[in-house]
Amino acid sequence: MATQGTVCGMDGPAALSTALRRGTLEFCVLALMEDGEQYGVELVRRLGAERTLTTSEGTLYPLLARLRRAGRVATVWRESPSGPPRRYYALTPDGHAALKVFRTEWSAFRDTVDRIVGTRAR
Amino acid sequence: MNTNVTAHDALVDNYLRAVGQALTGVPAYRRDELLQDLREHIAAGRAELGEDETEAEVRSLLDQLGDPAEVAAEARIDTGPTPPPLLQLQPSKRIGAAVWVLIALGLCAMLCVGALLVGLFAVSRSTVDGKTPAPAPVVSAMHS
Repeated sequence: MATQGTVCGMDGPAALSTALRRGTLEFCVLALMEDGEQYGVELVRRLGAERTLTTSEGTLYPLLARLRRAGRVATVWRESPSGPPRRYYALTPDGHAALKVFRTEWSAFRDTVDRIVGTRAR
Repeated sequence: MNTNVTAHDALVDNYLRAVGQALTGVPAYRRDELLQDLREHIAAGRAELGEDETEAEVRSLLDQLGDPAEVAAEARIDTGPTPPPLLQLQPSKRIGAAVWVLIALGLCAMLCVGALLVGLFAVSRSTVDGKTPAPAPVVSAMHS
């Protein structure tokens, strides 16, 4: 760990990534389930490999738990041909609705930031 | 059978214990839920490795899961006084709280005015009856 100040969110690239992930990562998780239910371990591995989005696989489980409690995803256990039973995650109607709202909000948000900061794609 | 399985189990147990310890202060049901999720993840990974898993493979599985403190910190996010950040909910909840405070203040004011009026009424009646205005009726009026 770098010996940065930890007083606020303005103290370095790590803090910036954390701040940017807040509020966006959960919708990336929801989007991965949009086309159908996903095996939890696979989901976590896929996202865990995206280093701009996550720091590690383990940090995704508390997020999945929050989404379950918020009623945005539902889970079901299925037998596995090899190994222990598998937990599958799927979007609830609430989850679908939340993702739809996010898409609208995000497009407007991204456009505004790009315009003001000067990061519009060419 | 791999003779090192018990040693690998110990690695996993140590990891889970470290996460558990880092989770102090997090409600028990959430701590158990997270530990269960991690246990399942590890079990699934080890099932894929099969019986001839190596210590390096098990360590790599745990490394991928990440630093126990970091995982626990993520679970701590919604243990604070504010509920999880789920977009639109926050502002309306705050407005809701403000409305309730106003309603409570209004009720308090009405009760005070009411008690005062009842008290004044009782005092004026007892004065009309030719008795000295004693505080007792006022007190009983406020209790009724």
